[in-house]
Amino acid sequence: MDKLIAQPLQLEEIANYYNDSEASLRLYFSDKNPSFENRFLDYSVEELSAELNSRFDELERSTSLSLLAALEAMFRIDYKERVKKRKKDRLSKALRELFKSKELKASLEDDIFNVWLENTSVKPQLIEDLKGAFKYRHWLAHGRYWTPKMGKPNYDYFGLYQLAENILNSFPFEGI
Amino acid sequence: MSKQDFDAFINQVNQKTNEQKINWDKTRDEWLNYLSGFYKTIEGFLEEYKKAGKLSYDYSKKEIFEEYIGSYSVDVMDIQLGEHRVRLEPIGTNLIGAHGRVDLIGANGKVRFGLVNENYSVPLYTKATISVEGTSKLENQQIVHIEKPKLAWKIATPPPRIKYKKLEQDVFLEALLEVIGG
Repeated sequence: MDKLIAQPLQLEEIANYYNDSEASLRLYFSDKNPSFENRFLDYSVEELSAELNSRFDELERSTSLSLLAALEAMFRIDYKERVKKRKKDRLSKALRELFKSKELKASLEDDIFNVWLENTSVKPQLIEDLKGAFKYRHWLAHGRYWTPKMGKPNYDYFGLYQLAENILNSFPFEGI
Repeated sequence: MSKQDFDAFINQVNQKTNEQKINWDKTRDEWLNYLSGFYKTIEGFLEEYKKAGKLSYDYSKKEIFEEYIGSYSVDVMDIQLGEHRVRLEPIGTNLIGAHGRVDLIGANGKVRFGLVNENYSVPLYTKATISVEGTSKLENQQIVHIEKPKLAWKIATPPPRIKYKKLEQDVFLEALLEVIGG
């Protein structure tokens, strides 16, 4: 088995990055920015506001991508840990069975999430939310060139943060 | 057809059946009722300032599309305070972690209002436990008939460490100042 270099993103770090980036953008798009007049010389108020909102949209999406990457890391680290530790509980056994056939190529959405659903008390709705969120991640990661069908209308940063925090606090992960 | 294909098919069919059990029209109407109550509460908070001519507000329409529910129209509240304009914009009801959300948006930021269990001051999570050998998924899930929670509008603080604050006039006016940058 390949050795993973453990460098998982922490949710709190992602939130701090988002908060600082948002505050920085507001400052940059305000007259407190020393180069404001040069940068936004011929902008109307509406144009300034539209460009700032566009930056916020992009910040939401890039931070959402980081949150989803952090979520994937939680499940993948747990998967490897349960295979390595050879624990006797039902979830560990099922994940080891999965590893026998697919090793590290096991799909997060089609394999690992389903093993969690079938071998723990996790609510099916939570797994559905996760699967929808990862459809959003594929859309973000692959150029956003199609209209995704995700189940929830707002896989935005705030909703995804709540989902990630929920998973981190409620799933009995190994190695996290 | 392999067993794996059949399992995937039957899971999909069951999922669709479960989805159909949710009355989405009722979900939408309940959300719109809560939204109407939210605006009445906010109007109450602003009444003394409106009467004194210190601020004004009006409503415009916004279309929301939510999967399973479809398109519907909601009111967006625009509040004018001197040269400052802020907006209360509904986001939807089919959300993670809340039964509805409205964002207060101003030049200096955004504050989120969530429709959540009235007893919650932080998001609460149900611990997932690993099933016991030889039992089915259903046997391992605690089947508890929980009454639908009473919902209330609360202000959600931004991540990390999200908290819910009770929606009261002081808290709302503080949020208003925050998004204006006053």
